[in-house]
Amino acid sequence: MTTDQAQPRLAVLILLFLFGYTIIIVNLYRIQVKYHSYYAHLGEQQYNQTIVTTPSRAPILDRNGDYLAMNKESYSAFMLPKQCENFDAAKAFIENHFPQAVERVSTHRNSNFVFIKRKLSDQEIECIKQSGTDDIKLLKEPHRYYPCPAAASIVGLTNVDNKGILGLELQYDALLSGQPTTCFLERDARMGHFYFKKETLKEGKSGEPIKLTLDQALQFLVAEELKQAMERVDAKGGAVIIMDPKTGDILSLVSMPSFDPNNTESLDIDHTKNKALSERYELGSVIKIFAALAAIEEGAVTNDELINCQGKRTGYVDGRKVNTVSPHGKIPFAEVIARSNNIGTATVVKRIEDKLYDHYVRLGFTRKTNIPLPGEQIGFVNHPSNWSKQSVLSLSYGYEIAITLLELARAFCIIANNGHEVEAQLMKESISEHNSSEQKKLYSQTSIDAIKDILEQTTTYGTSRRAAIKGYRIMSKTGTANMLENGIYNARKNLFTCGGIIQKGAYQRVIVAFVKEAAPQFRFASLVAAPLFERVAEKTVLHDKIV
Amino acid sequence: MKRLRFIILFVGVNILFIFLQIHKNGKITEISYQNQNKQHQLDILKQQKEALTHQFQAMKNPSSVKDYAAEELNMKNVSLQQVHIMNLDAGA
Repeated sequence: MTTDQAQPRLAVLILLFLFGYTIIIVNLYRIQVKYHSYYAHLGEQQYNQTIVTTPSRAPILDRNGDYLAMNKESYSAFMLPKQCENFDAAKAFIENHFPQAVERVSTHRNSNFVFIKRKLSDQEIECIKQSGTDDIKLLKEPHRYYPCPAAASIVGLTNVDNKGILGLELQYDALLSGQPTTCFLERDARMGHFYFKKETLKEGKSGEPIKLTLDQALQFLVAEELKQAMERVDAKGGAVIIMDPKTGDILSLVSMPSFDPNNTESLDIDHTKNKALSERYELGSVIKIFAALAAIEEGAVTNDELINCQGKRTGYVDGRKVNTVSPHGKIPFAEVIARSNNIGTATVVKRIEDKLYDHYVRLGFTRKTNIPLPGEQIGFVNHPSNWSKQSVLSLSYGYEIAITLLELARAFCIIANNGHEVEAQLMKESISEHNSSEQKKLYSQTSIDAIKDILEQTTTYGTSRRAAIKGYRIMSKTGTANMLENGIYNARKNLFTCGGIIQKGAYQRVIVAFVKEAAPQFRFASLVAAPLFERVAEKTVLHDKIV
Repeated sequence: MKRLRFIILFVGVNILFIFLQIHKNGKITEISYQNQNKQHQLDILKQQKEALTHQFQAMKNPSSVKDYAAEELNMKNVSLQQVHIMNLDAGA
């Protein structure tokens, strides 16, 4: 090839190169100068990332470290409507299998993201996998699982976003959730989870587990017994509380009807309440034991003093009519309480008049227990300034006084704890604050011994006979009360209570058994609540291996 | 000659330093990558542990245990009257 022939070709080549370089320079100018901020921002988006890591929700544990609430991964179905390959096919599938999501999907046709259903069942997951459509995707999400549904009314519940909405889950939501950590990452856009540099912008905090005084196994056993008892008497509701009187630990707190926290699709909001503390009741004769304690402490009576119960079902005390279930003549005061005679009780309590109110206050009937559950009611005791002539009599056998079952259990704890003040505990960590040696003495040992004797007699031959267990010291008292409906006491609707103490050596437990609205043929707590008390006490000692 | 040697030595040392610096950064990146991989594995293991704990607790929950005992093992509830204390020392 001659030089003349080569020159035009070289010129073409140079021109091509120049053209190429010009394109590169123009593009460089566009990227680096003209649209610098846009591309810089795009680059930053790809290389720099701010991520927020949410810590997993902390568990709720029982006193032995067993789980009452824990995390479980569940699947949710979602779609990305804007990126849908075949929206109509996906919509048809949703219409067939998730009809409740059709409207949501249709209205969000132009959205980037829409949930179809959260917390899918295994069958629903399988159904989506088999569907053959790629437009419906699955997302792993954490949610709560409750291994002991019997504790549902205490532990509570979280919603689909894992936020507490009931019970302790709600009360301690911030503590259990912890705080998210915000980090800045410098990374290669193609490197997945790998990064070059990590900088923590905001230090988070992991959730703190909560340890309760409840015993998961005992809670389950008690719930089973309560359920059986309610079925036996065809009752509408019930509750059982078991406490350790030395520490005030609530070992079991069951309220029915309850709900299954693992299946909340048909949740009745009324069943989510723990009736043992969110409702107060006029409990009837079970209160007599505290009226007796007040009278003995005031020196108004002794266990042996003969009291005239007038030998009839309807008598008069201070000119006011008082009815009782069985007539009794002159019997010792201990027997008056053991046989639950209203006339005898009212006769004695009349001697202390408005001091009765002070004693009910001292026993905590007008004070919250302060356990950290939302919705706790405060007991009501009619104040002497509002008293009629009947009031002191009514208060002696459990009317004009409405208390929660937890307040009742706490009052029994005072008797079991030899007159020392006891505070109910639901959180395990706080028991150290209530050392027995620091507890205030509320009642003299003489009065407590006398009351324990009366309670024992009540179980031996009185109204609580069915609560007795051979080989154990059972000190209990029953109470039957008509329910107040629209200002009138309904004799066909009753509340049945049996509260007391089970003791063997140093071992003590306070049990309160309560049944609401049994079938009409079951008229007395001795037939309804006392057998429940006995069954619960038996389960408790077997569980605690006190044989 | 001396000048040339000095220049070669100077350039050589600088190249060595640059190499060492690159090597150091490479090592840091490599270790960081390994660390992050381990962290990722740890996260996966934590998730697996949580899933297994859940499975274990689900099997251990009192209701499941009772059902298993009653249905699979034909066990029945024990009443207090059926329980007797055996003094093993006395028999020895």
